[in-house]
Order: sequence, then C-alpha cells, then structure tokens
Amino acid sequence: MQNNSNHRRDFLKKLTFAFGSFILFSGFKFKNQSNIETNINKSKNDNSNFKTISKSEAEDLIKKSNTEINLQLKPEPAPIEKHVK
Amino acid sequence: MQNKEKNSSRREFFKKLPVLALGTATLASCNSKELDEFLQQNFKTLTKAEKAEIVKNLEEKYSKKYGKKFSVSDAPADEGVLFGYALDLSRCIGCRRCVYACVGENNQSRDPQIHWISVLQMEKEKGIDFAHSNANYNPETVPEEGHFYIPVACQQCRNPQCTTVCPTKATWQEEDGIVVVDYNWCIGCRYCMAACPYGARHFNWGEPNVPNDEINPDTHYLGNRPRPKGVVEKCTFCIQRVRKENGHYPACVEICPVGARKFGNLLDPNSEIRYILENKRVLVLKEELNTQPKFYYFFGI
Repeated sequence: MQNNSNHRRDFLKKLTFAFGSFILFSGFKFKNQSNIETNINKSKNDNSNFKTISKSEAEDLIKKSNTEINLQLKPEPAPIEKHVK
Repeated sequence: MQNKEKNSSRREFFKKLPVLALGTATLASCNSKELDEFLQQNFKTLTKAEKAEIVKNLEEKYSKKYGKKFSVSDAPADEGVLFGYALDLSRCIGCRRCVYACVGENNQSRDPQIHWISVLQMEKEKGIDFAHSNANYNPETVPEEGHFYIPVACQQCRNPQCTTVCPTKATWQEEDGIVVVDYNWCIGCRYCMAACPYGARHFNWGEPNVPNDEINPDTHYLGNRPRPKGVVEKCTFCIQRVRKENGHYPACVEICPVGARKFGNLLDPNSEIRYILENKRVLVLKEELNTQPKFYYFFGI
C-alpha cells in the first residue's frame, strides 16, 4: 500500500517537472516563431504598395505592344532537348 | 548441445567479420578531412570558427582539384537588405546571353547540361502559355515577329514551398531573401523540385562537368562552389557577387545587351527596383499559388 502511494507521489513529482519543462520549451518556441513572423511581415510591408497586373491584362499589353528594341542578335545555342522515354 | 551453440556463434562471428573488416578498411581509407566533411553539421547551425575551418578545407580541396586558387566565401546576409529582381518583358529579345553568363559565373555543368535560366519563347497571339512555350527556339536572329520571351529562373519566393518540403532542412531562405541550398546536407530526394511551381531547381543526375579552364574560382559556400553528383541546385541571385562589400550585380543583369534586367534592394526606397514597383504595374508568375515571388515582370513601355 505504502509502495503504491510512493509511486503515485513520484509520478506527481515528475508530472510537475514535465509540465514545467513543457511551458518553458513552448515559450521558447513561441519566442522564435514571433521573430520569424516579424521578419516576414517586415519584408511584406516594405513593398506592399506595388500593384500587380493579372495574366489577362499582361496578355493584352503583350498583344498591343511591339518590342521596344530594334536590335537583332543571333541567339546563343538552344539547350539540349531532353527526351522523355 | 552446448558445443553446437558455440559452433553456431563462432560461425556467426566469422560471417560478420568481412563486414567489420570492410567497414574498418573504408574508414581507414578516408582521411580526416573527408571524415570531417561527411560528419559536418548543417551550415546554419555552425559557429563562425567552424565555418571558417570548412571554407578553408574546401578552398584547399578545389584549388588542388582544378589547379587554380579558389576562394570560397561564407559571407552572411547584410542587415536591412532584401533582394528583388525585375525584368522588362517589352525589352527582352530572347538572345540567351543571360543563360550563358549564368552558366559561366555559377559553374553549371556543361555536360550533362544544366541551365538555371530558361528563356521561353511564346506566341503573342496565344499569350502567356507555359504549356506551349518553346525553350529550344533557334532562329537566325531574335526577336522574331509575333513572339515574345519570358526568361524564368528561381523566383526567390517570400513563401517558398521548396524549403518547407525539404526533409533534411538543406534548403532555406536567408535574411536577404535568397533561397539557398547546403550541398553537403542535400540528400537528393528532389522533393523541392516537385514543390517548385516554376521548375527552377535542377538535379545533378551525373557528375557535374566544368572544364578546368572555364571554372570560376570566385565562389560562395551556398552558391556557385562546385557541386557533387546527386544534389539539387538553383539560382542564388549570384550570391557570391551580390554579397561582396561593394555589391556587384548578378551576371545576368550585367550581360543583358538591352538592359531588360533590374536588380536591387527592396528595402531601399531609392533603389531602381523600388522605383519600378512603385511606378509600374508588375506581373508575378502564378500569383494564385501565393508563393509571393520577389521576381517581377514589368512592361517598360
């Protein structure tokens, strides 16, 4: 009987320790996560004022536009074609 | 009975002996530097001193192999820098000068061929259609009537999927936004290649082959240093150039004969890239995937 209660006491002691460690480590993790989030947000906010165009708008521009450059060049060699067997 | 058991255990021992001998012989044949390289930790977790030691060993190794004095940099990202890239689609003529400047600068394998930049030719009538684009066009001169060109390389996404799928954390995004690969930690599973929607990652199926007289000895650990067989590689915005003290442009920006390529610091309000973002409307490829590329296409006209 005594032995059983000892076991229970040991278990409860370890439980407190485990709970304490859990809080400690989860806090550490949260701290790092918030740092990462701040960095990402910082980079997003710094150029959030740019405007993107949709694919169809870009296609309209491409159709209407002529290449600005009048330069004609011989292209460098094409990559070797990879044949899928 | 006991004798039989003894015999059996002796037999087991002799069976294991060749394996043990082979293991010992393999370990003995490795020199200490090779062993250190094999047991090396992930680059991100190394101390400054450990990095310096590794870089020194690599410089010695490459200098010996290629017969040239090599420099391997481990320069970290500068504070307050986030690199971005813009490409003027109305200027690009599809000459592929950028492709070969990149190959030379970044020691990409010549045979088997690896190109980090792929220039796609598309028909103006069909619009942006990757399925029917042609990367192997070969006319006498470019640009061709009725066509336009979209060069595609790593889009250096803010939300890169390639890094999240890596099982060994061998690829990650640096503070300056460049997505890099630690070739010593890459196990060649190619999950990142499957995750990348831009086809920007390339696998070394064979031993990379760069002629000794063409090798660029000015390298970065996370960039253009010679790669081994079986690892994935990708564009790093020429990390060995852009992280130099005075800051150089990537090779593709420098070579472009029509000035279609722009590069700079997105956090600097006076940079050319910021001017483009604030004054032009830009196209990002596959915007719907929320990868948030830092590679922008725009129309200068």
